[in-house]
Amino acid sequence: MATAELFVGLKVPDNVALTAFHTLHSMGYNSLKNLERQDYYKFEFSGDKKAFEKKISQVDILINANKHKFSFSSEDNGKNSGRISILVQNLGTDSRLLRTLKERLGFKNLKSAERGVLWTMHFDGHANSEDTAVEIAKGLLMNENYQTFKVLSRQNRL
Amino acid sequence: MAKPNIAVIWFPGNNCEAETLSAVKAAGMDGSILRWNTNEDISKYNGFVIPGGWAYEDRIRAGVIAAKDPVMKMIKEEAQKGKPVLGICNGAQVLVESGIIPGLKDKVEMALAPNINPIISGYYNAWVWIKNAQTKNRTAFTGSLEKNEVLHLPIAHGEGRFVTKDKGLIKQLIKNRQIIFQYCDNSGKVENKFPTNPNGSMLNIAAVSNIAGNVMAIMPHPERAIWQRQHPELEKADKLTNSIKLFSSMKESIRNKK
Repeated sequence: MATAELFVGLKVPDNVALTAFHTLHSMGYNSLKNLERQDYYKFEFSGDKKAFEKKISQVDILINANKHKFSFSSEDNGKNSGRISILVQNLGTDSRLLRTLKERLGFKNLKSAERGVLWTMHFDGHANSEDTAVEIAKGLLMNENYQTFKVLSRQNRL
Repeated sequence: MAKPNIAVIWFPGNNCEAETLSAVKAAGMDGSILRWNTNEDISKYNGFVIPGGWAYEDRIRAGVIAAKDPVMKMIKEEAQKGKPVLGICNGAQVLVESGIIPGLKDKVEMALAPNINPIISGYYNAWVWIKNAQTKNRTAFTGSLEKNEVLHLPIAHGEGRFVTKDKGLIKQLIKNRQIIFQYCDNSGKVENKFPTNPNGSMLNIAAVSNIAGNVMAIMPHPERAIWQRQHPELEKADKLTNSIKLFSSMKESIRNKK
């Protein structure tokens, strides 16, 4: 079984990320220098990975080429660069994306599909940035009553 | 006796402030729509309503940016003085995300999560029934409502499912009688199934109060159903329905405190 992680961001400035960034500054997180947001998808499938990535990147319910840019995951130890990425996902199973891709868009080889929001934080300095990122996630970017988060060591670059 | 003076707090993206103020006035109170960044001293108001809409476009998730706004700190202080604060729909989301509701710990204890609905994902509009699950004077907004009295109200939300990960909290809400309204059928029967429960809320919760009962977060829209003419199934008449009782109860609770 192969897996692919897809990261989708906006080509234009992201109002949601900007609002979150300014709100975090008003909450006192002044060491945060930039905040990016991307839609995150993880797929499990059988078959050729390159072919799957090419096909999924043409699905316009995930990527609208007029406004989105995308990448697939790449290994990178971003924790050492003052960049921390936190993935926020809703708890519980949501099979709608899987059903749509399989039943309506012809991804018969797809076994699972999950989605989330990836927040990438850029900090001024490295000290305690992961602790701060977790605090920020819990304080603003997610509600623990229906969402969960994980710190991704992988960094994607668009 | 002067009419109670209510501030309807408008955040950028709210769209129910006019009919909310209209409901406040129909119940015999005065009021004003105040911008979230007003320089006005809000402590001169006797009570507050946070209306529905999309504060800050629901960025990140519904209500959370408004919840961090400085005006919410002021409203929290006014609530601690015992003044009534009603959050309707998006206003309810703001109260939950600010931790004022249910307000048992100094943190966010609940969420209004995305609806779980078998026929449509995301935003859902419908007329629903809710009943007053508590005795009539449990909150500042239910003094005129009998226990088990049923209201017919519209809902319009994508994130209206009251949830908590804290199982102990639900027990406390029941013990404290903080679950004020529950989704039910038109006879008042509470069944945890669609469409009676339109969004998958735990225990069919439609409204939760703080422990003192002066702050309440309600997802359905009473301000959109105070006149008979607003109801799809009633005669088109300028007669008030029992939904006005939430606002008239608010008025009486303020008067009784003076």
